[in-house]
Amino acid sequence: MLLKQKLARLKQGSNKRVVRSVQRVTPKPVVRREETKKERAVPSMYNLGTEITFRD
Amino acid sequence: MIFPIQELSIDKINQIKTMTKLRLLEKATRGWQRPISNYVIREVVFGDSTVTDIYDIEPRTAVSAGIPQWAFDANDLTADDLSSVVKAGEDIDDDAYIGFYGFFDLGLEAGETTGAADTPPSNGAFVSAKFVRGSSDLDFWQLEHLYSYDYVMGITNRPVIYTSDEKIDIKVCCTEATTDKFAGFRAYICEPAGRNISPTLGPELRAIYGVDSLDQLPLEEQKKVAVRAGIDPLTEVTPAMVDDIYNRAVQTLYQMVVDAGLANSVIEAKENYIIREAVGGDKSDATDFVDFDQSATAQTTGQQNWAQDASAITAGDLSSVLASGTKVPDKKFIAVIGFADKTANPSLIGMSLNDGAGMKEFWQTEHCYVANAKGGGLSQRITYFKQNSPFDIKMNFKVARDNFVIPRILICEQYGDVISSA
Repeated sequence: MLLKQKLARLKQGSNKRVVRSVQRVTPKPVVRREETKKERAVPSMYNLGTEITFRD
Repeated sequence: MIFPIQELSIDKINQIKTMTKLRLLEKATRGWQRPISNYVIREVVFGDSTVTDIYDIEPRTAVSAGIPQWAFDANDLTADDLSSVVKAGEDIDDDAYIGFYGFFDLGLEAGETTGAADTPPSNGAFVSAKFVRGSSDLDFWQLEHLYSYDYVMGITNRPVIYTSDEKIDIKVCCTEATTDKFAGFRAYICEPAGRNISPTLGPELRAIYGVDSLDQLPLEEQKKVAVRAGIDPLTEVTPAMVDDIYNRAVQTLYQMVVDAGLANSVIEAKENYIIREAVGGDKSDATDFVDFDQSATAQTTGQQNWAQDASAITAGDLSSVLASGTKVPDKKFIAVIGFADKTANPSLIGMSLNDGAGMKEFWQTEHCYVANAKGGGLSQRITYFKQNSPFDIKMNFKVARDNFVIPRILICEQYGDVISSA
């Protein structure tokens, strides 16, 4: 690959990367927070009151 | 900590039981790396090496040699001392995993399953228990607070787990040491499928999930199926759990009709087949009808009720209570979901369900008599037998006398056999 092309790609990529990183980072925490709320709203059979541990 | 069972919700009790089973399965499968279908769970049996059938942990001294029961011999006890009640050097069987999650005392009046109207042993003498593994004291339960209630049963939120080949000792402390103690521990064992029992999961997997084997289900679904094990005392099942048991049994029985080629669809099966409770009794002399003939000698000639004649019973052994060669009748299908007991001062300690190939299910039933002296239990793991399959029920009683134990069996048959279609 020619050095010119490499430079051109790097330039394009670096611009895109900035945009992508904004797009990727923003929605993820929102999804995670929703899942956590759901888990708390419906206690599973593993999570009812007094903690259960094991001696093994 | 150990809680009087009366202080726990049924949901909490079942959560502890389920989590104990999951922990055992996790250990057995090496963190879910081995197939769950390789293992089964059942109640732990405490019995000495002269026991004819299943025993898992041997007592130091057997109260009655050859009888697999939870009982501690006075010879092993020193008053006011934690005393070893397990055989010296005892270890867990290879590839077996045991979880202790509770305690019960059958020594109170009307509770002990002696099978005879004898004097109850002194009660309230039990003080504490300690679980030992080699040189480690795994846990300690002070038990006196359980005796505030009418019946004595405790469940811990910290089950004690023993893994394959580990050394096990249990020490108990009592305020007096002159009488044998009819008390025991709530515990499950996870062991290779086929070592003792081979549950009939197939029909239900096909009917409910549409698969042929457990391995075909997603891992979480496999776990849900595998923890359906053991016999639950009636005081520990919710109406929702009973509904689930009956629902699965009914769906599966109709699917079995289809699988046998007797109907083209479940809808067609429901049009032609009906489900009712099965009847045991004296088949040759019954005025009306009996589904399953109870052994060579009827407890009462012409009986149309479940009853086990003393002559069929060998104390301490799983004894066949159906006539030799019994099969599920042609074009009939059965689901066994539990048992009830009408015997005055009962003595049932174990029960198994068998086909021609061996033991499909085994229940150690002692814990089902603590809350209610008449006893009874339901199993979330339903046992199915198809038409023409050899079928035998074996019961282990501490005393060879007449008993009135009712296996809870649902039978699916054609309209017109007993119940008309309109």
